[in-house]
Amino acid sequence: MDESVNELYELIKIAREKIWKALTKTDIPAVKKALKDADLMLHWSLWHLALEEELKPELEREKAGISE
Amino acid sequence: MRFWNPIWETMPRKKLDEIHLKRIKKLIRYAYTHTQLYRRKFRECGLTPDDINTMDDFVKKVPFTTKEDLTYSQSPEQMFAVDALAEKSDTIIHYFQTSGTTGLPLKIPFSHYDTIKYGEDWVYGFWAVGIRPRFRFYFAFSWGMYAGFWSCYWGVRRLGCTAISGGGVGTEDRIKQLQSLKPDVLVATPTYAVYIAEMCRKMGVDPKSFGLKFFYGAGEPGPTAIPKLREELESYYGVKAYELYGVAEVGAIAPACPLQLGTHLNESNYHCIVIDPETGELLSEGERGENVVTSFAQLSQPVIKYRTKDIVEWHYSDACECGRTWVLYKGSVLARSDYVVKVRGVNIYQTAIENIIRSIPGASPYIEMHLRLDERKLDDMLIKVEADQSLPSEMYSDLENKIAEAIRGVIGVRLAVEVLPPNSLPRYELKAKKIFDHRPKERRMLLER
Repeated sequence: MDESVNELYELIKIAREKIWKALTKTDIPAVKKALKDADLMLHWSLWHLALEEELKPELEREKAGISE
Repeated sequence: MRFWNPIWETMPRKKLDEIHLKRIKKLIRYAYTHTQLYRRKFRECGLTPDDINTMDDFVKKVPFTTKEDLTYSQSPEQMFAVDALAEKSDTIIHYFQTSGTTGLPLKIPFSHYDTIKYGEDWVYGFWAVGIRPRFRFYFAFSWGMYAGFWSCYWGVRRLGCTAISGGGVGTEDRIKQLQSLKPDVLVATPTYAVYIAEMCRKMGVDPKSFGLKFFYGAGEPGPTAIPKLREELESYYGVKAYELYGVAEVGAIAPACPLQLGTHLNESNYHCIVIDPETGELLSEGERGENVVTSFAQLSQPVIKYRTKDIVEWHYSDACECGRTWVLYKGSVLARSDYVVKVRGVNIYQTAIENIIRSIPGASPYIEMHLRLDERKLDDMLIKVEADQSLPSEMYSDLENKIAEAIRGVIGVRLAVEVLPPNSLPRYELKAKKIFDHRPKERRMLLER
């Protein structure tokens, strides 16, 4: 992987992990929905880099044990 | 930046194929796990997802999906086809359906992510031709259940452009809106754009006064498929005219090549093979056949090796003169496989016929093609053409002859032609119905999209 793309990938991964952690810290529907949308957009940016792991972000959250 | 996403649009073929295979394997596992449809189809073939490891496995072993598969479990009591749905129905945020002139309309569900990807498909096309954020788009569309222009709207928002709705009003009011709002891009079916120009003439309005820069169409063969139609639209409106090739239940799969050579399959979201529609055999590059598409973007109602019934001539473009490495459909969609008829040994393609007729003085753009059987019970075609307003009726028979001869000169067979007075044929706001099949039921294949 190109170094700059690798760096970008790592940054996106970190951002997603923070969002996943935030998801476990709230039950407020409005906030949960916004966080899921944010994760979707980050997954979408990985799609644009051809670096996504699964076809949908929720499949990755499931794998990571994030409860919805 | 020439490309919306150069990583995908200029990706070498070898890497594209590697990623396609990875995604195909994931998609098959996903569809098998989440839909009864694909579990049933795979079990009928004695397959599981573990059996698909190479592209050869995919091409040779995985069964095709048809429209009938998707409608199989539809019923009036249920919103969606239960066995084809991969999402829980409460995560579906948009519902469409095809118009369905025969039999059931096809119900099409989309999740939030599906709609994002569907919209993004259009953005590749917009960016390629020079459309940028803050351009203003006018939608000459009534916002019914037709997926095409809704997805265009999602793309317009995604790019950061302004959407102006032409919904809820008739053509005359749309013309007045175009005059006063002066958008940059007109979105309509190509036939309706021709009709708007016709109405402008009746109202004494010059369509060039709208100040449009682009026409971007979809829904039927347009400026890419029919060069004469492109010339007309560009001449009427003073624009560059393009089209996107989409399949409602799959996605906006192929935006226009900016050099107007055809449409390029968006390989960030789709994979295709092209087959002989009669035998199902894989065709080589440059051959004409039925487009079979797999979508990585439509995950609510997955489509794997979906038979679109669209006839295309496909080329690898390493790279197209436009710089893209994506598969090129030269001339975009040439015909529907159901409606390619062989008349005296010659395949007749709808777009070829339209292109010929449009170049003949005295013929209007309003055309119908009627499939029928001749006295020997072989496929035949009668073409009905409206005369231009300026043509005296005593010249109709001369025009019939000119059209028949022009067709014979290009495609090698003489077809029956009937010239009708102006305004004899219906006008359409969405896709025009141009093909009518009068052959016995057993000779016809059901078509609807």
